[in-house]
Amino acid sequence: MLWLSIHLPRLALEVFGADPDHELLAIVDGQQLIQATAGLKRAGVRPGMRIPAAQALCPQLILRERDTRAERYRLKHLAAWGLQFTATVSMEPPETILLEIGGSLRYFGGLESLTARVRAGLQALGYHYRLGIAATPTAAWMLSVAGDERPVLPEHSLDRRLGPLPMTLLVSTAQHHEALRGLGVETIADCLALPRAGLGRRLGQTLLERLDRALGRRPDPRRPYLPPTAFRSHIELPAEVEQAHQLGFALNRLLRELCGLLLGTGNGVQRLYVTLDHLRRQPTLFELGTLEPSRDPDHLMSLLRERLERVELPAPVIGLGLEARRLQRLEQRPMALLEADAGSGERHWNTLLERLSARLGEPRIRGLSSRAEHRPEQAWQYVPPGEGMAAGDCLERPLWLFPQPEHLGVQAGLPVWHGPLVLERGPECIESGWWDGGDISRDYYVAVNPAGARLWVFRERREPRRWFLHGLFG
Amino acid sequence: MANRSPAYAELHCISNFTFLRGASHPEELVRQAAQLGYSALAITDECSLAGVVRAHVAARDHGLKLIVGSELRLDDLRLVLLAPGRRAYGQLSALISLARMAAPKGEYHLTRDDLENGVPDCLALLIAEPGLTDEAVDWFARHFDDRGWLGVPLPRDGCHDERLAEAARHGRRCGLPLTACGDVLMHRRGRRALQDTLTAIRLNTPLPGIGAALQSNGERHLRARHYLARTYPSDLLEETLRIAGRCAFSLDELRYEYPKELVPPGRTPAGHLRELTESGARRRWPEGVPDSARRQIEHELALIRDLAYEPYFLTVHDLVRYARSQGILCQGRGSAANSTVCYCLGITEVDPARMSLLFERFVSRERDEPPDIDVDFEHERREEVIQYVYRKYGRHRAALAATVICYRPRSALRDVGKALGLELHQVERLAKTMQWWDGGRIADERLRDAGFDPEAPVIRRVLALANDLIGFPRHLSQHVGGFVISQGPLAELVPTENAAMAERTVIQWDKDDLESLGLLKVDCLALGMLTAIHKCFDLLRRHGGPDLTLADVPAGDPAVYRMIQKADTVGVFQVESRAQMAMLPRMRPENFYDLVIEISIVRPGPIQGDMVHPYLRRREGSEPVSYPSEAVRRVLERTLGVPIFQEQVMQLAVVAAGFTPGEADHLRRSMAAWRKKGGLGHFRERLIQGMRERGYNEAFAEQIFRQIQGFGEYGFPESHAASFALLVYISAWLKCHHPAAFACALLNSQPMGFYSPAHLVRDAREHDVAVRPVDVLISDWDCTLEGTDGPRAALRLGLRMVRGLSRAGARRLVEARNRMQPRDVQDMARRAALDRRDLRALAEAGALECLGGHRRTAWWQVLGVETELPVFGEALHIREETPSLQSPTEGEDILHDYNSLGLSLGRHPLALLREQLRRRRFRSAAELAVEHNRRLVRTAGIVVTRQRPSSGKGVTFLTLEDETGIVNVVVWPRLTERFRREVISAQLLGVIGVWERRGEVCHLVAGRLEDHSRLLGGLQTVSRDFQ
Repeated sequence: MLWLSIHLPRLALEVFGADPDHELLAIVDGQQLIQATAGLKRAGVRPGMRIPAAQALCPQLILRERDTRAERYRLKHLAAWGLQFTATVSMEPPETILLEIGGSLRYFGGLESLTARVRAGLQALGYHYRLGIAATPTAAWMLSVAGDERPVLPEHSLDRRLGPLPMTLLVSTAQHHEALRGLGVETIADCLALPRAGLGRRLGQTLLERLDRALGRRPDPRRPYLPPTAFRSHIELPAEVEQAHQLGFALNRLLRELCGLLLGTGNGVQRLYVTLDHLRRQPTLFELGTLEPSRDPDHLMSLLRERLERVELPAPVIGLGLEARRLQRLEQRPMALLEADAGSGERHWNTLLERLSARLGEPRIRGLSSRAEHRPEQAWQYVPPGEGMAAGDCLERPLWLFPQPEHLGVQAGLPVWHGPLVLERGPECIESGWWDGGDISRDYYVAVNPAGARLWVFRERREPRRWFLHGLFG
Repeated sequence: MANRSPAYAELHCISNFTFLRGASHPEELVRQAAQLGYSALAITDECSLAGVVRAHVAARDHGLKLIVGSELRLDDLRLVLLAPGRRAYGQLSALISLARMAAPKGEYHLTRDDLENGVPDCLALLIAEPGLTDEAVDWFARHFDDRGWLGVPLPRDGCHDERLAEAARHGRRCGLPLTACGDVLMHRRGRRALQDTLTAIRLNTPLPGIGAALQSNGERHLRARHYLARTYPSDLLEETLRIAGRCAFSLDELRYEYPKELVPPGRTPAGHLRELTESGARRRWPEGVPDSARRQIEHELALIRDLAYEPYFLTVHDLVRYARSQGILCQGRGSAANSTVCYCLGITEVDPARMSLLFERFVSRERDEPPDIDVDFEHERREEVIQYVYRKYGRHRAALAATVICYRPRSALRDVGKALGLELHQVERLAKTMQWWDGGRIADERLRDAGFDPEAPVIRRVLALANDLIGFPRHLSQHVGGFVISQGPLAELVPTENAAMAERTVIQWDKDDLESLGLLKVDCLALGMLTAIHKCFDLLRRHGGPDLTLADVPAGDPAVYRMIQKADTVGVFQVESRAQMAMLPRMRPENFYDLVIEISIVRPGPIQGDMVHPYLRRREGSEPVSYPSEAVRRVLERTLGVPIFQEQVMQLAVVAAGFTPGEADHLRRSMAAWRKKGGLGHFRERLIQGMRERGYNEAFAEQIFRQIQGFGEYGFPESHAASFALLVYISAWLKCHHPAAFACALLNSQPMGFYSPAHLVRDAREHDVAVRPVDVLISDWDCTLEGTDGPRAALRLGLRMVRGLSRAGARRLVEARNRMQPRDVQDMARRAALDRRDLRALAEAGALECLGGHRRTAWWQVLGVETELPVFGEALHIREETPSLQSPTEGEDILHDYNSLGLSLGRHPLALLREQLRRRRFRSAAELAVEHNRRLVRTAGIVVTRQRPSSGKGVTFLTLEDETGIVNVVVWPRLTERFRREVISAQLLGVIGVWERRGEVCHLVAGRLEDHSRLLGGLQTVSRDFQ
């Protein structure tokens, strides 16, 4: 048995898809700053600092709350990627995965060449990493966390190599940490020098067990990672991106992960779904199909780039997602995308919607819903079909609301629309919306024209106090 | 137009004392109503009368009729109660109290039951709004038949006709008259954005997300009468006048009755006060009362009788008498406190004669101001006095005054930022720019530095709204110690509510409100120095020293003044701050009155008025003492012609600018509030013009005005300074003659004062006091003296110094140890039932060395203690080997000392680093101390304080400490920008700069900063930063 541990010391930063050297990004966990980019470190920001101190040092710094879900997510995808090197992969959250590589050495042409491939792959994924190699997974993990990349092969003495590592690797609680500190214990060797029974009595058996596992004196079983059957991954961008082609860096990382998974599981994909998120707007969606299932990252990337060129961004992008709903065995034949719906004559609402969506594209099918807002323009919204709520107010509102109010002429002090209007009801004064720059201040009336049309009109409360037609009652 | 406008009285209007709903100050509402020509305005805050006094004062100024009322919400209805007379007012106040006391702080709870029986004399409007049921109207009509109305708000929401018709239907059905009412939230339509923002803050949701929870328009303001005429049928408007006509109550009618039990049966208050004063006088002057004092007593008693203030003096006397009977040190201060009567009553220890009768300010007949006595008690025992008050008068007759907590720039920015949807860390960042807030504007470059675009509309909105929000009340808190005590139930005078602290009651008015209405309060304040002095007296008595009280510490001791003149004043009351210490060698106080001046001169008032240097020059004799007039001479003679005290400035306004005493008093009160409310402008004109007319030059007038501004919230009157000066003298005397006992008492009174325990201990050691370490076999909870008082007395650190040790654990430890000396750590842990936390704390502090050897071995033993095995005792005493652990290095020991005790009796950490520092050519504080002026020097030390005083124009002050002493460093703003990182985060800082020496005052003006914190290893140093 030989274990390779891959430790990602800057994962918490990297889940934000940032280029860690060029952005002033720091990750906070509660009130603690836990990681900072190199740029911030140059400004003197250090992990462990209080947030106000960091802000004082670097006012431009961007803070992000730690996203443990995304980290776990990333780690899972890395584990899937690891399957290309061995069948036995295990996750060691929050930021490490373990590969059993004893059985793969021969296939990959020895340790040197295998680690070289691993390194190249990790580099392509864009992670900062540290490797650790030892006969037990715990020892490999310790070495990788400590940053000691020299392999400890089964013939070497684990005691000697682990001895100088800091004892912090051994303990998980602040209490134990403090206890060992108090005894003057700095390294694992210091720990081994203490009377075993006394140490166990003081710090508990788990500490001894962990020590034994690391040193190979006790079995060290790991739960294997089981690969998924579909792929869906997402990245928050640290800053807004305005140009589609600038998304390449982040998209490439998602694609590499996908291809690692495909490589490890012997699968390919034929259809990819990309989501571009915007602030306060529906995301932009597009799909990409290939003629044959593929798992070649460069090939897929070149297709994606081409597609990206054609995407028109309605707004800056703040995050993006990549999805492959069906992973296909590479040998398998691709399945028809739209299978003919033979048989059932029953047309459910939902089936209709699905069909319409497939034909016209999902964004074209929309529902209407009312919104809790005073401004008539903002008091409704599009929602996905079938969702939303009906208007609940007793107030009289026209069924047809004009996208733009229509300016009305005035005769004898009264507005005119196909003849002079008679004001039936009102005024209803609506003043709202200053916070987004769209403040309105209007007196609304229900009016009738000589032809009997019932109209919703308003007069501006501010100069020049013009009249407008805003809607028609049915 | 105007004369066609109908008359109108607004009967339903809330102010911003209905927190996060009302969007205008009471004063703004009153002013607006007066301008619109309203016949009357009711302020009807929701279940609160907190804003009515301010409205009352404003209404008096504007000649507007004010109606007192309150809006109340029940489950299914909303109504407004109005007080037509004093009885109704009492009922309303009691109802509000009842509702408030029945709910947690900030909320209230009312039932129909409460309304049916509690307010028989109040008028009531039931607000007719959608959702009001017939059943509710029936109930209302039944209970408020001839004093109930349906109030109809018509806010142009599109349901105008329906609202009117529905109200008319209810009215016809139940025979209730209809009246117009505005349901007003703000004084002008323009407050709509702020009102929306308040809603967002209240709902804790950003504005874009709350839509319908907002008002749909800005109609709910005080509307012009011609506009109302277009909105309402005229009979509804006329009805408001009929209702207003029935309301004849004014807050001026409130009369305050003192508790009667202060006077024994059969006596008059005047007779009783005289008796107490006479017997006090016999005690003060056993040889017979001197003539001058006798005359003064008669003068004061006559004045007190004329103003009927006897019960006030008797109340204060009763508190002081109680404290004394419990052995609690206390002292009064304030204008009335420095009277001969108070001296006789034992309220103060400062013999007015000692002040060479400089006080003309007692209580004056002309100035319409209540007497002012604050009583300071030992801070650890004040609670006993407060409980005494509650016990004696009951919670229904005694309550604390409120303190209105208002929005400050930082909190306003934070809340507005959140309401407008900024992200949390953006909000924090924005709030931080507040350090540079200046008169409502944040400089654009500061915003850019913080990563904001000053032109961005959202930022502009945030700033503008925050500016409006500043000064808005946020909630009521309790005053630090101002009690109101009454004869009858207090709740009929002013609503009371629950305070945040359990078993405390607080009224809805603050001290300004009380003062406006001429109601008196008694201030019971907490003062740490009194605790320390008391503990020091006790220590001296127990260890063979003198037996002292506040009254008989020997006065006028030259050794004490010599010590003060050298600024050797760490731990001494008031004069221990850095600014005071810098002033002492120049002031060179040599008598008691000099101390009074010393503590008053280092304050914003005299500093902003540029009074400090003229005073020093005149004192040194380098500038002639002159007076612009004979009248001014009388006011300023005692301070060499330079106004220093708040009282002097007030008197100058009278004698030099022609203010009446009443106006001067108004000025005094505006001074305290101008930062919050502004409004000194017209005083400035009057003052300067008045002084010019009387022939004073303009520069002098401007100076006086600047000083008035400087007093602001920090106004420090002579009458308070005098009592404080006594404590300065006493604490200095103790430090001078009994340094060990004094240091011990200070340590046992922490937290208090300016310096950390580490600093106090170092200062004691510099004064040759032997300080001994914490030891589980010897130390008590408190620090103790060992040996008899005198030069050989040693200070033993107590268990209280050990960080993380529980008080209960320490008590068990001391008890167990006193019964029988423990054999070892395990034995001690078992017999004192110490848990692991306590044991760790003791090991970390090095307090186990006597039992367990060095820290690491002790630690091993502590970790091995089986705390889960109780009763079996000896049998389970586990025998096992202790491994031979290497003893910790000196550096590690020091590190642990600091982490656990905050101080070390070992060498200073920098002593260990001295060689390395020397190699880097850094010199010690002691070496610098003898350096000449203007030399370029290099030094390094641990940063112990960082300060950026608001008056300092961006200058940062750092205090560095090394093993030989401290160095004060001044960093100019430009340098702060360049060495931001070092200024903010360096623990061990190297400074290269110019040594400036003026007499004995030295500081280092930094030219370059270097961070050497790495040399410290893991040492956690603590700096008191930017407080």
